[in-house]
This record gives sequence, structure tokens and C-alpha cells, in this order.
Amino acid sequence: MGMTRAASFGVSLAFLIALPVSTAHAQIDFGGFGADLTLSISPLYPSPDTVMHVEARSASVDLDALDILWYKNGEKIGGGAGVKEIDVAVGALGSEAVIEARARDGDLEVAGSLVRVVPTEIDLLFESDSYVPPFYKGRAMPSAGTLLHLEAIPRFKRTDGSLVAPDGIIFTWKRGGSVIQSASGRGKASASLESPGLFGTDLISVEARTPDGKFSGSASTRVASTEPRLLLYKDHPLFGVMYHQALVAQNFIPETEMSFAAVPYFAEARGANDGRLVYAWRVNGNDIANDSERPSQITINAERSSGNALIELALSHATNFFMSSFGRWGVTLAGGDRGSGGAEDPFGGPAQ
Amino acid sequence: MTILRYALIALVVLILVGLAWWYFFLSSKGETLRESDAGRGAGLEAPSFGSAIGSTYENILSSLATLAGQTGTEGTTTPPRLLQVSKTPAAGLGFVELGSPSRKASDGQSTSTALRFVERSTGYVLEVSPQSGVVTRLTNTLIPRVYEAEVSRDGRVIERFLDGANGAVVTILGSIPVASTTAGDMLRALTQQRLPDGIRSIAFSPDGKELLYIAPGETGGAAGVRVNADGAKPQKIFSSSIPGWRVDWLRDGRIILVQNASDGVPGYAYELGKGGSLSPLAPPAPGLTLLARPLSSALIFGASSGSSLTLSARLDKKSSVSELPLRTIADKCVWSPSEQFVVFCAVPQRPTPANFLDLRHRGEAHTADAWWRVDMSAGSTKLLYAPGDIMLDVENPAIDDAGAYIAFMNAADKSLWLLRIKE
Repeated sequence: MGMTRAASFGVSLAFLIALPVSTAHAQIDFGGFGADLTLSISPLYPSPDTVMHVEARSASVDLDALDILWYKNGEKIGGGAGVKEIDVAVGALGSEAVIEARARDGDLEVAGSLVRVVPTEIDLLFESDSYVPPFYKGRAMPSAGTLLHLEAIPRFKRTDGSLVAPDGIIFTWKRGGSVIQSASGRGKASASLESPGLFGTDLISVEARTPDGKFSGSASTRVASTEPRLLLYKDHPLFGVMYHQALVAQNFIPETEMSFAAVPYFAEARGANDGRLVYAWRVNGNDIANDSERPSQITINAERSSGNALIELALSHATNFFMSSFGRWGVTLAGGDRGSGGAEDPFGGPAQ
Repeated sequence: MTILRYALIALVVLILVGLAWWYFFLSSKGETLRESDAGRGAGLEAPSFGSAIGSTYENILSSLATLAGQTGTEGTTTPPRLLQVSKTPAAGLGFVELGSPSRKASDGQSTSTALRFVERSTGYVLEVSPQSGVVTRLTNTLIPRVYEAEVSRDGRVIERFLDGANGAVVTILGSIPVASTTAGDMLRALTQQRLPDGIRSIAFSPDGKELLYIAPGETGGAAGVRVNADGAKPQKIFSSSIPGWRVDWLRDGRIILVQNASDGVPGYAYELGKGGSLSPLAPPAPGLTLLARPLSSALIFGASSGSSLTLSARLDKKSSVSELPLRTIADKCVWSPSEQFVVFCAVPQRPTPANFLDLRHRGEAHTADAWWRVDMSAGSTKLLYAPGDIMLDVENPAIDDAGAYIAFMNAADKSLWLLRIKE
């Protein structure tokens, strides 16, 4: 698997709103000077029920020389001479906290600032439209040429417990640091983007905010391109394609005849027999003409032969020049006059 | 000289006693092994497909543990603890509540559940009594090459296969009419209701009267549709631009959605709420597999990334997540219905290869599992059953209401197995 783990995992939920003092409702009055004081928080989008770090900075006053008092929702939580930083517990989803810092010189309040923290969460899910066979329980992974479907699931919870609906949220999708304008906009919680190129890895991120700025958050995930994987299975006349038993390098099949189905996992295709897929079969070095309706399948009859077959399959794509897969499987069938060309004994016993 | 003679005689006697003990010891062990092997289907004639019918059902007749109507002592013996119910591939299974008391009496069964399963090659529905191992075929409607099946608690079945013409995934909802008490032949035709093509995942409601399926959405992605079991009143209750979801409808009515998993890639799991809202159940994890406990907020979830395989548990919404000392996936586990916070898990006995989930999904790797019992309230983990040299890659495990039996399929060959939990 070429897919790497999302680098942002663990931080891919994201979260909060931190309003600088410049916003109208965050402005506080302070006596004396109009000295600036800004608060920065880390991480920028802290998770609910975690701890965030808040730091006070000023370009106009020496905070080290002042007493700095810290408040959360009006309650003092710490402070002292030159205490410019503090760790603060973030509340649960749906909570809201106002973190305030006041810098004092004796009885004189020199500067003050506050941030309003509203934890939010965003899940960022992805899956590709690459080919996987029917009943496949895994995820379709992106490969070069396929589309990547993404969905952001925001949880912007109001204090009354209700959630902001996605159609009331503005989403901004980014690949790397570049905004994807066509995918971004109000209510655009989903996006379909080109998958990363061959051997490529893209950092996909989404930022979400409500129009009034009360809620915002972001999430990101690292998506790696996967090489299509070509596997071969028995297509049993009774049981169908044996998707649970991929052929290995060397296989013994106690039948004189058996059909095989190739499955191009994660290829750019709508089905195994998609007309854009080009199958080139060879058996024991001889080219085999494709079945026009089912080029992904081949049937081998070992009557009047030793039963040994080396199956080689090269797979390419008519329009996707990045795609090229090759597989080779040794198969030993029950050759000679044995068997009737019917089904393999599913019990693994000798051919009848 | 006399002393030497007595010593030799004593020695000979001791040797004879020892040999006699060894003989009886081996005999008793051999008998145990023969019973166990017979339960697993060993020693049977290799079945043939050369008959005029060409059906695997005849092979089932020769390979199943015991069949209804057979006479002799086989029907009265207790099956081995691990019973191979069917050597032929199965499509799905489920425990069902048996019907009327007369039905129970006729089968000689003492409990109210039976294991019902669907044969992959024919779509026939069969049933086995866990207590006796007696197997009964219920239907005679041929549905070839059934890849997946579900069984509801009230006995309905879902059979899923590929349309021969266009390759679409076909889903059939089947009901088994009540058998006539006078008819000699118990086989019945499966009453079929075809659901929309292309369904990716489906689950019965707890009472079997409704279905929830995930199908392709009108503009791509996925749509979750809730429908009556007769196909009436379809109601779209969920939509997503992500196509791959697995759906589970718990006995307490909660609907669980788990994104299709892949190694090393974050996966998400949600409880589906009213209006299609999604409430996260567990923190996102790479290769996430999840099993929620009905009637509780407890859950276990597995993560798979590279060569790392972990299983964690959370007993309620307020408690923290704790890692369990088992290296397996949640798909191989079942919650005990009778003991709180007890979970049974099939655990690979050897380290799994890197990217195990993906390899397993594609049929490239299989495990040899042993069953373990984890009591999270007591903090104990015990080996429940090790199948010895039998390679069992457990999938689709199900436990009966009494918590006495676990049924499962072997992913390596799709055979069907039944494990009695108590020795």
C-alpha cells in the first residue's frame, strides 16, 4: 500500500474560535494607557476537553515588569509578576470560555485582552472512486487519474446544544496551501478533487467558519497515491469469484479446467471489464486473445497437457498512461484425461 | 539369588502395569481425537460433483455433522465443542428465535435459538441446532453464487449476488413460509422480494421488520435508506459523499455506521441520529474497526497501521479509552449478551503481516485464530479456546441470545463453524 497515514491524524479534528481583541465584542476597556496586548493560543484549534496554551504579547509595554492576571469566565485562574503564559483547560463541545489577561502596574491597569474560545470539531473523510470489486469491505484508495471524494463533517455546537447545519457554514478547501476556489463556498462540505499523481502525496485541508465568525475550525489529512494492485482469483462455477482466496505465486488446482478473474484494485475504472482497461494475457509464453465481453477473465483447460500453466497478465489503461500493472502466477491443473472440465472439488479432495 | 528373582518379578509386573496404563491412556485420548475429528468432518468420503443433480447439497448431506431425520445414536450425542457445521462455503449466518413450541418439540431442542445460514453455491437456507448438531435444510429455491447473506432474528434472510447480465449487485429479501405440519417434505420455496440493485451494505432492524441499506446516492456518494421488510415506505435517512460504509443496527435500535477501513488511513465511526445527524463513537483511528455493545455505550475498536494492530475499549461515554492486551480487529469480536463488559475475540496466534487489513480484505492473507475472553470489569483476559492445528480466520462472528454459542465463518474458505463457549 502506498497510502501513508494521514500526518494530521490526531489533530485532524479541529476546533475553535479565538477572537482577537480587535473584534468589537472582545474589546475590553482598560484605564490608563492604550497599550496593546495580544493573546495567542496554541494549538490554534484546540480539541474539546484538552488543554491549550495561551501567551500574552505586547509591543508597547514590558510585560516582564508587570503583574499579569489571568481569568477564565471572570474567575481568576493564575497570574503574577511577568507571568505571560498559562495553560487553560478547554471545555467540552458546546461550551464557551472567555480567557482574559490583565496587565497591571501596581493598582494601575496598563493593558488587557481577551479571547473567546468555542471548541469545535471537524472530521475529514476521504475515499476514491477507484475500482474495487463487489462486496469489497475495504476502502477504495486513490491512485493517479482517479477522483478523490472528501467530506467535512463539522460539529459546531451552540450553547443550547443545537448544531450549526453544514449549509450554514462556509468551507474553504486547500491542496497544500492553495485554495481550491471551485470546491469552496457556503455549504460545500464535500469536494471531489483529483487524486495525487503517481507516487505523490497531497496535504488536503479544509477550513470552516460560520458567516458571523462565531464558529470556525479546520482539519487536514495527508493523502498518498496508491499503485493499482492486480490480483487473480478463481472464478468457480458454483461459488463465483473466490475473492477471499487470491492466487499466490504457485498454485495447485485439482481440476482440468478453471476460469480465473483478474481484479485491478484501485484502478481508474468503473468495472473490471471497463473498456479503458487493456488486458494482455499470456499463458506459457503464448499470447491469449481476450474474451471480448470479459477481458478480465481467462479459462484454462489442461486436457491433454501436463497441467502446468504460467499465467502472465499485463494491464494498462487506454487514457491513463500512469497505470501499468503486471502479474505472474503459476498454476498446476490436473492435466491429462482426468476430470470432466467441471468444478473443482470445494472440499479440497482429489478430483473425481 | 532369591532376592534377585523377586526383584525381576517385581520389575516385570511394574512394566506390565505401566504398559497397561499407557494402552488405556492412549485409547482414551484416541477416542477424544476421533470425536473431535468427526465433528470437524474428517474421515468423510470426498464428495463428488458428478451426480446428475450437480448440487453441493448432496455434498452437504455427506459432510454436515448430523441431519434431521437420521436415526441412530448420532442425533443424541453432544457435538464437540468446536463443530464444523458446513464444509461448503456459506454466504452468511445468524441465530434465530425458533417458532412455536411444537416446532421445538419436533426438533427435540431445549433452547429457543438455532443457527440459520445460507449456502453460497445454491442460496439454500439451512438451520442447525447448536445443542444436537442436527442440520435441516429449509428451502429449495435455487439462487446460485450467493456472495453475502444476512439472517434476521425472526428468520428472514437477505441474499446478495451478482446479476449475470450486467454484473450489478442484486439483493433479495427472503422469507420462509411456515411449514405445513402435515406435509412430509419440509422444504419450502423462499418468498423473494428484490431490493434496489447496487446496495453496498445492509442490516436488519432488531425485530427484522425493517431494513437499512447503503446504496449509491443520486449524485454519487452514498444514501442510507430505511425501508419496511416488504420493500414499502423507503425513506432516505442519511447521505454522504463517501461511498463506503458498513451499517449495523443494534438490538437497542441504535444504528452504527463505520467507514470502510484501510490500513494506516484514518477511519470514522458514528451513531446515526434523527435527521441524519452523525455522532462520533470513537476517536478517528487508522484502519478503524468498531463493535458497539447493544443496550450500553460500551464499545471496542481496533486500529491497524503498518504492522501495528491494537484493540481498545471504552466502557461508557465518560470513561477513558483503554487498550486491551489483544492484537486483533473488532470485526473478530462479539459482546457477551449475558455478562456485562465481557467480550469474546478471535485473536491471530501469530503476528500479522504489515497492512493486514488490506491483505485480508483482498484474500491475500489469512490468520489462524484462537478465541479469547476479556472481562473488562474484572480486568481479566483468558484463553477461551485454541483450535490446535485448525486454521480459522474468523469472520462474521455471531453469538446467541443466551451467550452459549458463537457461530462464525472461516474467511480462508468460507466454511461455517460453531463454538460452544462453556467446556
